[in-house]
Amino acid sequence: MTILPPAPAPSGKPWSPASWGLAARLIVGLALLLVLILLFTVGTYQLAVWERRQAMALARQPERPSRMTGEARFGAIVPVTTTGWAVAFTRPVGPLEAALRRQFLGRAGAIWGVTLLAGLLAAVLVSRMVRPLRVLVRAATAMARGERPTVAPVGDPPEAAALADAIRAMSAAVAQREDALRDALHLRDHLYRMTEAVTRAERVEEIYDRALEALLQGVGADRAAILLQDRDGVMRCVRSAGLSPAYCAAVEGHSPWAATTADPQPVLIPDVAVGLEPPLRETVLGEGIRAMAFFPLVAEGRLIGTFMVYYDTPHAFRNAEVQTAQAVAGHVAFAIRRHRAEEARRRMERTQRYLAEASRVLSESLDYERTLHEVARLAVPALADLCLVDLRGDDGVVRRVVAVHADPARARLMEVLRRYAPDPAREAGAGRVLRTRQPEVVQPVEEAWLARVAQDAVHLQVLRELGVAAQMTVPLLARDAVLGTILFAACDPRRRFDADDLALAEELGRRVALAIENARLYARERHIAETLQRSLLPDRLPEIPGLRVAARYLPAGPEAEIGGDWYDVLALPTGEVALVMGDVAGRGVRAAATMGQLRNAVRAYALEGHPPALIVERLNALLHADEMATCLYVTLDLASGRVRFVNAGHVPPLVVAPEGRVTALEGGALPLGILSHARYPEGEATLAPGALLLLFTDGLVEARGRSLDDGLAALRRAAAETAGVEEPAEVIDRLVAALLGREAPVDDVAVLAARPTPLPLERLRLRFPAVPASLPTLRHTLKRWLAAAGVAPAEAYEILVAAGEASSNAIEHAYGAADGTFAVETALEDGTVTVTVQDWGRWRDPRGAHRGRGLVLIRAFMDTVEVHRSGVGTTVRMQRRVRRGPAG
Amino acid sequence: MRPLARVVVSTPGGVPVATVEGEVDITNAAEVRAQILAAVPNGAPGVVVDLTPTTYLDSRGVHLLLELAGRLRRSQQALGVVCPSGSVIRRTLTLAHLDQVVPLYATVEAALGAIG
Repeated sequence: MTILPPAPAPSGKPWSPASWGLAARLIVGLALLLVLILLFTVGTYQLAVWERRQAMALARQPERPSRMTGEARFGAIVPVTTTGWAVAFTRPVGPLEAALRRQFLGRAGAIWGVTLLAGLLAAVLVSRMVRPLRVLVRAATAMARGERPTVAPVGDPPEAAALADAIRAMSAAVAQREDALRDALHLRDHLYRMTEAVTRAERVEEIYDRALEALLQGVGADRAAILLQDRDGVMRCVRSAGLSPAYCAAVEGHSPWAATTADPQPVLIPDVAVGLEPPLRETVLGEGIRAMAFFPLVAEGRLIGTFMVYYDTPHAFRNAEVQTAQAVAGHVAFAIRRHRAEEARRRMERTQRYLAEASRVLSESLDYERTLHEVARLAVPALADLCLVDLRGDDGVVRRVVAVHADPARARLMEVLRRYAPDPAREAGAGRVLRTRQPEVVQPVEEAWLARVAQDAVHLQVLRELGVAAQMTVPLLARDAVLGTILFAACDPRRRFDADDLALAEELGRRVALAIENARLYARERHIAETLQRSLLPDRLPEIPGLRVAARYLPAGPEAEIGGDWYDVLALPTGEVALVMGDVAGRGVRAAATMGQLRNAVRAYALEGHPPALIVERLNALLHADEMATCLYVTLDLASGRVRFVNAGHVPPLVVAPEGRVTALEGGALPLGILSHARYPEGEATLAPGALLLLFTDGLVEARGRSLDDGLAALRRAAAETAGVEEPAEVIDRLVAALLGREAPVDDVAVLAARPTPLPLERLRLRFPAVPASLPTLRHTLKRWLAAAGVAPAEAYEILVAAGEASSNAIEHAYGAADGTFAVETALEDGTVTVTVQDWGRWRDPRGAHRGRGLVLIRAFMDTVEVHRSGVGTTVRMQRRVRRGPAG
Repeated sequence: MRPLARVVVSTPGGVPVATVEGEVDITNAAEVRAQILAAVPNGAPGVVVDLTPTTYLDSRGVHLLLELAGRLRRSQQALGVVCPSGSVIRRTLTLAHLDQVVPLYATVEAALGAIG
């Protein structure tokens, strides 16, 4: 505690007790006067003391007559140099003068005696008067020094006694004022430090603590408490000193002022026993309190709480105490208000930051289940300790997709909790929110409530273990549907969710719902487009004897819409093979649909037997005005290796020779859909035996940060390195790996590789769909095989007819059978050709003349014919001995 | 590229000649027959089916020709089939006894001479 500043020093010279008093000075003066009179009257010589200058002037004068006698005087003048005076002795006075002098002396002696007596009397009187004054002076001096002297009793004179009383009173008054000043300064200091501490306080609890300290010291109370109004206007004890919890709980809700009181004033109860009514009086007395006071906490004209001070004995409240308490209350109310404003601002910032971050996460990915995890991770512990997300799927089933807790140690409990998706039939919890679409706030979460929401004993146990104190559940509303719910829970027993928390949760719910809906819409559309595209692409390539062919379709990454790339392989009625590849501009369902139309159109035109250029011209006419596509149509004659192609704006196909030389089949025209009557030139080339024909879309060569030319060059290099790789499927694998690596391509990619291969001479095994359209392919393949085997054309023709007749029957047998295929196997051994046609259908007796003719032809053209019929099908085995020409 | 078979019709001397190019089997027999019939006006004395450029013809093709012959006979029109003696399909036609129902000629001129 700072004490008063040092008393100011008394001004002027200090009074010294060594100084002579008035009496002493009077006595000395009288004594000197007496000596001088004696000298001048008694002596016969005149002793005179002159001022030096006058004495010297006198000495230099001629003798002059005496003033009294008229006689000249003689004498000596002694100058006293140090004093500037001179002492002169003159000649003795005459007899007359002496006589006169004696007479005078007689009278003078009496006068002197009286004078002396009067002087002595006066000295005694003065001395009696001066002594008490000296005592008083000492006392006053001590007071001036800041001491608090006791003034000794003074008897006489009455004025001195009165003066002593006055000084005594003055001393008391000064001391009192000094005390008051000291108190005031003390308080000022106290308030100052409290204000400083309160201003610096980061947590509101610090404000309470400092306020209590200031209160206890400022008013000298024994105990104190701070009560603040909660959101419902109920006074709640937030801090107390020296009070029992039971008492604090008992006084909660009590307030001497209504919440709306305009200018609440302190309420003082100096004695509880008379100032309070039961039952409050008993409660207060029971706590050992005898006096108390309420001081209002008012911020911005609004009552926000109460300061309570308590004394263990009855207490007469002084003004200073009341003022102190009010001053503290004013400061604290302001500090709380400021702290609350600061807290609100910080919370707003935090909320905005959180929402911004959540929005970023939500917009980053369309994989919403993973995104929800990230959003939930942001929510704990920023908003709550625990976060659950439940989603209702398209099937109406509610699944719990996220269950996270701020404390990693709770992960195991959350795993269990994850299994308990809410039950929409329940009257409480997420189930109700799903049904009512209204947010639900439950606080405090009580045992009875847990029992209501728990789905079984394990669930209940987990909920208890987690110790949820407060929770809020908001619906995920999108347009008209409830997609699910988000639940936030706090495990701190004091934590309560307020209106701001709920607003944040609802806002988050809206954003999450929007993101989910977007992702679901996107996924749905993508699923449709993918299904459409997949259904439009060949699910398997036709098996064409003498041609190894493979194709690959790689959709772009999951975030991209599907494209309109397509490919096709067709066995043409002429025995040729058509390889088709195209790319519809644009993406999504529409591109896929256009692609489907083009693909079907190509198939129809090709199977009708139109020439390549005409097919492409018709495709061009088919496209709508705003559609555009590229198309590459290639026919391949397997017997001769002759290639004919038409290229409408597509990347040129590559030919990879067996030794690795790569050439492009250059030459083409505009893409489809640019000019309505465009002409498409036909190109020609011949594949060397063993060469590979490679068709692809630009997705294979276009990659991030690579030009089309660089991509094409890279593809040519990679293709050259596949020389020696026999299977087209493996060639494609290598090319894809070299060009795209492991990453999903930026754009859709279609690749088709075909390599004509010689037919095996010893034994050819073929299997065809049991449809008439297989017959031309069968004949062309057999024709090639027979030619390669060196069978003469005329004989070969008859074998073809026989095989064709048997196959026609097989197709009829297999009609309606589960496995709609038939197999043809040919072998050449010791100059004998064996043809076996097998089906797995139901034998039908020949009906109609042509069927009988079929068998006639077979028997006529072949040397032997064996027909085996069984429950599972029919096998026709035919042999004919052939004349073999030169090999090849 | 061509379709499996193509029917080219000409009328050099009042009698239509339907030349069948390519292959005839179960897949296109009905179509070929329709195309030939379409080439025969009601007032024509008959039709010559030229199988010289036909590279394949099986029992369905034979059946087609027999059916055609039946139809024309009912409308009192003649059918002549041209098949050179060196053709691979001639044996098929004779084995199926087509020659017993429909006259076979070696050349179009011979056929036209017989019908016209």
